Amino acid sequence: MPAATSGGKPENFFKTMKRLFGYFHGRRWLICLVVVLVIYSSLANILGTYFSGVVVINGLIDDPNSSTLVKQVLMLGGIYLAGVIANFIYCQSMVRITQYVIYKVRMDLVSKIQELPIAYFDTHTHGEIMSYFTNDIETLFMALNDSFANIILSFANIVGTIVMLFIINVPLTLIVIFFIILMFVYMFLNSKRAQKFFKVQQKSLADVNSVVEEELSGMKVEKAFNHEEESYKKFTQANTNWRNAAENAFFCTQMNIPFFVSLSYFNFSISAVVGIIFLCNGYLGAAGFGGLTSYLVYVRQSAQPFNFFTMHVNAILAAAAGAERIFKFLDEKAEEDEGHVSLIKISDADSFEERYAWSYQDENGKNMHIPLRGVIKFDDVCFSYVPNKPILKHVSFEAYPGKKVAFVGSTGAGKTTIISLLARFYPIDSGSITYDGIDIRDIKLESLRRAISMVTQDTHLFSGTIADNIRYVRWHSSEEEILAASKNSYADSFIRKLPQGYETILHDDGANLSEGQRQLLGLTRASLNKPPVMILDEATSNIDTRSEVLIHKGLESLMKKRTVLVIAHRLSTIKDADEIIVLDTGNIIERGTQDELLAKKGAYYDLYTGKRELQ
Amino acid sequence: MKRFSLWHFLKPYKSAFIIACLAIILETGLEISIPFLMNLMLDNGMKELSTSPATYEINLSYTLMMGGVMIAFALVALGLGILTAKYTAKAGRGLGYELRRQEYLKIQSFSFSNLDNFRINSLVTRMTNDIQIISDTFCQSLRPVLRSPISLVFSLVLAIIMSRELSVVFGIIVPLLAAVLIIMAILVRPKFVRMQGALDRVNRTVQESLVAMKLIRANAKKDFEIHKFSLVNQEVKKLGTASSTLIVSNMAIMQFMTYACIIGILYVGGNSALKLTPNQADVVNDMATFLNYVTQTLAALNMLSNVFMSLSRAEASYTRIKEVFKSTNEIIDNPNSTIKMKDGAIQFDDVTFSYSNDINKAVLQNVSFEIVDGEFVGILGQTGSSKSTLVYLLERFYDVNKGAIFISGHNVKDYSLKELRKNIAISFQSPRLFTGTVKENLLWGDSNATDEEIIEACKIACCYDFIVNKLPDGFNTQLGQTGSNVSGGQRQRLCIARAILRKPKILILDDSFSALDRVTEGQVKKNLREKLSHMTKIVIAQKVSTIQDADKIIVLNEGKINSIGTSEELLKTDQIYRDIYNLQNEGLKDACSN
Repeated sequence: MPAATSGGKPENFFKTMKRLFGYFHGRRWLICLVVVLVIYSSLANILGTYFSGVVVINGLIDDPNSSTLVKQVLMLGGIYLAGVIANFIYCQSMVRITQYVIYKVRMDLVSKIQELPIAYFDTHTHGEIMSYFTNDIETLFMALNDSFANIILSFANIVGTIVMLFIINVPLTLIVIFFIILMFVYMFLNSKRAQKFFKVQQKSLADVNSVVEEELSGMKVEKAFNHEEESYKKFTQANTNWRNAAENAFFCTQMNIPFFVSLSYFNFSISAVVGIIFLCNGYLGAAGFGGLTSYLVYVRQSAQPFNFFTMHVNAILAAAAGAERIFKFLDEKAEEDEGHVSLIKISDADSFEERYAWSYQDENGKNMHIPLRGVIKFDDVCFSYVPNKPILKHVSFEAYPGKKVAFVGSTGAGKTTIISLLARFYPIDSGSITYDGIDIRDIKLESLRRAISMVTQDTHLFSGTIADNIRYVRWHSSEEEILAASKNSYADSFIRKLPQGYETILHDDGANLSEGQRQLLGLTRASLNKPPVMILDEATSNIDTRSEVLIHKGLESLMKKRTVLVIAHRLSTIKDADEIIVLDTGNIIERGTQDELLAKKGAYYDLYTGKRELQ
Repeated sequence: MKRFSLWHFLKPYKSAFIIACLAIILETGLEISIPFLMNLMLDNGMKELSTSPATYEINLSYTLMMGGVMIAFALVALGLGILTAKYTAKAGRGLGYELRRQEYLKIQSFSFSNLDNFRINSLVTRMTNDIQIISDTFCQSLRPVLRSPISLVFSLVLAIIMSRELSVVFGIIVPLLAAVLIIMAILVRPKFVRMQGALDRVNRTVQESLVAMKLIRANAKKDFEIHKFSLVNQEVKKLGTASSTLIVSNMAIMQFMTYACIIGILYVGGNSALKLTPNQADVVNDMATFLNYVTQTLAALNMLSNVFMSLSRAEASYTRIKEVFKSTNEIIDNPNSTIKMKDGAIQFDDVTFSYSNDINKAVLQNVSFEIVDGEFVGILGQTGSSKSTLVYLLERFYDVNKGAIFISGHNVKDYSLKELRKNIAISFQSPRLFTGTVKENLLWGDSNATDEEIIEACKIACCYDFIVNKLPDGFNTQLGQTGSNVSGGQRQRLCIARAILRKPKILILDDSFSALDRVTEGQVKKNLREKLSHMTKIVIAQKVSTIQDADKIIVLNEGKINSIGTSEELLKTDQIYRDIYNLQNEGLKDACSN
């Protein structure tokens, strides 16, 4: 049953509906069938009532004959049976159409998520995006599954009933029409009021949800600090607010029911009295006694679809508002990807560099190849997340295979930004970045990113086994390769100690693993996937120094022929870098090898001796 | 089992619930008597003068009287309807409130292993969506659920009073209908539970890909992710279709039954009308009334089949909530214990602990050591050597599997949890703050702390300067969720200050200096030593320099104690310590010699 209130109003109902109907593509004939069957189903009900009253009852009075009775009852049975079959078919069809549409909408949403620029996720919370999947899809589902057919059905019922009333007697029908108008007026006024209460309720619900979320995720701290009572107070406040707001909202929307019910009683009693007067004075004509009984059944029926109708209208409006939000999201601009150079496989060689090469078509349509090496050049790169707030100012550097370039600087200096730009997570403002001499804007995004391996401070893990999580970067890796990679990164020993070893299933982003263990898994991924450019962004920050040294030894063979860019918190890990670049508020302030920089006794020296805080 | 019935949570709103039910029952009664009144009106309000052509004479006063009665009914129904709405809202929202409250209290009583087992995300869902669904469903289905059976029974009784012959039709159809409904409910349920499971997987998959977006992009895994999602999406489509098609066939079945009822009445009634020619009009009138009941009952059943889906969904939610209530807490509190913690002396006696309760997977094995009150103890060890686990056992976040831990001479299990945790303060590895001002966050340590005490604690943790000088509103600066608007190092220092404010006997700092520079770290440590000399201080560290000057250093290796001693002793005897020491000091020496 749909909620009796709507979740906001759609801005452009018809445009949204038109687009939504686009999703019925391939099922259009089924939709037409549903509409026809719904109308028939309603008709069968209304005709049945007329038939049973006017034909059978009047027939009994006018022509008391057993065989006519049987004939008429059978005819009525036929009408009803067809109605039931129609109902069955349209309900089954509607379920399938709904599932089909919802499936497609979900797929579109997920594809969109994968296409959006990274910058989108900086300004929108996960909760916002999740609500398309939970709230909006849910209301859409309810509306399609339930309300679409029911709204046609109740509308057809209302119209059909009124038509039948007119056929029986025009003046009597006017009484009914009067009450129907009254109901519409009440519905209109009340829904305005309900909207207001509904908004307050949604706000209080969001509040209680966010309190619950924060308090539950901080539950361990709460326990450690015996903070139960204070937290409970805060929670109770939010919970009480929700109860009061939700109570008001529900009460207000439910007020439709008693008003409709009592208006329909009024309607019924007045119609009955007037009906009897009409019958006795002969105004009913041919309809007669059977006509009066059918008429009264119709009068009662005329009220029933109303509540139904309002309920479903609200559900459809809510769904349209939800669909509108979804479509707005789907219309967000996708990540720019207009490059024409792609990475293609040229041989079955083991090493990544020999297996792949850059490929593009020249003006004559000839396929050209550029060997994959891993040369990175930043040339006078400027960048800002927000206009006029530059993050990187005229940054230039070069990195070659077999060389290690390290970036050092305090938080906000722009270290992580540099590597984000290399992966084209954000577009640069000016200057250029090239990979093997090709401007990265000319490389297809997918190819560019495949040619870079990136290990960041936060290792994200998916629900699934440890092995599958390692395998993520190269899905077809064999078990031996995984084992070798985890030994290489020293993750093997802790994985073996987990309850099911490599087959241990992780939940909730691997919530039970320590920060250090997660980083070991991140490094294992990097040992499995070997493109020529490797980025380590604080990749060992939560691993103890002793293990870190071992890991670096393990990674050495990996790094030997590759271009390595490192951001590290602990300076001990970058001492062997071929070039150390010291960044300060987006400017390169010092560069050179460790020995050169220490000799200079400048910014790096201060960091190194602990005179300056490094975060 | 009885404790977890919904009724238990409805108790505080008992009177609202009873009023709502009574109002619905009375209102239904009124509605059912309408066709009965109509029957009387048509029987007695006019007299048949001749059959062909049919002419009638009116009994105006009777007709008007009955009309008046019906209008009176309408007014009463209005009042009852308003009562229904009011008290249904009260009871339904109250139910949601009480469920959420009790569930919150239950989760508060959970041990860390309970929390680990349930996982936070799933607990959040159980306290938000699941409760909302139950409360909504209760509000929306109370009326239809009560009305349908009453409507059925009343109709049956009135039908029998009016005509035995016609009620036979009812008598056959109604039990049949009830049987079909029950069978449906039984068939739909398991399908529905599976569908909900699949829906959870859909949402989880999206949530995970959002969290790991950069990883996905960096590895060019777009198509992989879309494919992965299409698999769960297809599954939910399949299961959704299976459960929904079953649910909607309900409607067709009910319609079929009702129509069969109408046909039956017309046929049986028609035949008896044919036999009883003198009282024909009466029989015909009765038939009309019967038809009225049938349509009325159909409407009620229709409403019921409409809430059917919500009911099964609410049940699935309720099952999930019940799991929370049913889980038993593994940590047994000793709330009435009067033992007070006198000092911060600690003794670990042959402690073995495993997260999975399987001794073979123990993360701590046969750990024994002693700490004297007031000592500064460092714990060092590789990633995964169970340093944090060791201190968690002190606070009884988990209970040991073997051996025992004593604080101030008493087993930790003999203290009340409140007393235990009051006297031990911890700054966690991942420094966590909450929405609210800086001051509110610090007051977690001690809600009665004076401003002087707060400032003192902040000075010890070296966060006073940045709070006053760098944060926009000083102590009143609002922190975002999880303290997102202060840097990692600032967050760590705030968490240390919060722990100090507790004035504990034992202070635990779990890797709490990792984002601090050497100068600040040195200052904090000096303050701890000088100003909090009476406290036992346990510091878990990655860097040797952090704990080099500790009274005692415990070196852990793969869940076992490698050795214990001062830095000087360990340099001579412990290989692991020496390795770490050399690695970390070599840089500094180079720098100084340069």
